[in-house]
Amino acid sequence: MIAETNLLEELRDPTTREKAFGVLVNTYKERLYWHVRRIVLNHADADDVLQNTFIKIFRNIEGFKGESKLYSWMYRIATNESLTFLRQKSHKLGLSNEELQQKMVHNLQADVYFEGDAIQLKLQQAIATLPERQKLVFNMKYFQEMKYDEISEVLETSVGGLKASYHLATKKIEAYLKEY
Amino acid sequence: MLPDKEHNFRTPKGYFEGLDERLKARLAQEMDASEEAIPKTDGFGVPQGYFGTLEDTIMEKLDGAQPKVVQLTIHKRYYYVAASLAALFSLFFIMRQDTVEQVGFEDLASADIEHYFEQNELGLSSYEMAEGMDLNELTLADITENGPGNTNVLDYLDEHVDELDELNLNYDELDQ
Repeated sequence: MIAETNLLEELRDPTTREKAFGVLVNTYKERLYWHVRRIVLNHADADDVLQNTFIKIFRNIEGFKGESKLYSWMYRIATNESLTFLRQKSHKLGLSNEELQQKMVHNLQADVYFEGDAIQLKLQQAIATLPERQKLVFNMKYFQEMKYDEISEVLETSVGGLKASYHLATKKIEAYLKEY
Repeated sequence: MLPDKEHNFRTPKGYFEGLDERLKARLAQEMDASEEAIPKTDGFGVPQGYFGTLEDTIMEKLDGAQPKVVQLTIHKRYYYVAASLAALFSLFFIMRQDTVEQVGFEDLASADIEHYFEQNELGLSSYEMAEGMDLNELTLADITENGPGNTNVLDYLDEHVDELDELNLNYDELDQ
């Protein structure tokens, strides 16, 4: 793990900004990519959102007050960018959020970058039925193995609330997988 | 065995001690069972070499997205003109706003105007007042339809008895 304080100083200094930004991208690109990908599901969309996320981070780094960890702040930007992207997409297609989720999962079957089998496809169908927050918490906890404290800082929710969300999400997914 | 104070029910000794721990353990066990039913991987893939080129792609996009630098000195004169015009417009609208807020003649109620005329000596003769009336805009209907009314005429005559005498009316003729 890189030292956030040093990196921040370098990012704020115009002479070292570009180099430091390269370090930042290389350090967090994969983690942020998978976070975004699990929200938007499609690689091309994830790539777009990820690039926009990093550009936004670069442009706003001077405004980062350091009240939370840099890592949490970047996750928050990535989450907001992903959710905004989905809202714009559903508006553009004239679909509700639920309809868009179903369509996205359906499209996975023809996606060359989805290598999942029938059970993994069913898992995505189950996740698509969850409310937005439960979906985020489940993905961050189950697949990204983030700690509740870290998720709490990103989603700005209490740890107790997150535990309840994760428990409910897991139960719903289990029930869905057993039923279908 | 400990007695229950209210209901005489009993619980095993130490039942409440560590109850939260036992519940947590049970929840964890349930959670493990649920998680076991869920696949560990989600089957998503990325194009080969995607992460290797990502940094360059973002840097290129960042350079391309930089806003253009426009030479201000070339158009400096125009900016001054534009700024002056903007200031004049602002001043005009501010002044206009101020005048709108002032009370105008139109805002006065007719009753207030009548009250003012009754209470104040205008110092204008009938002829001077008539001069202020535009006869071109006066039509016959203004006189025939909007007459003073019998009540007003009688009131007027009652208050101006002297002027009534000036009319030199032949009362004998009126009585007939």
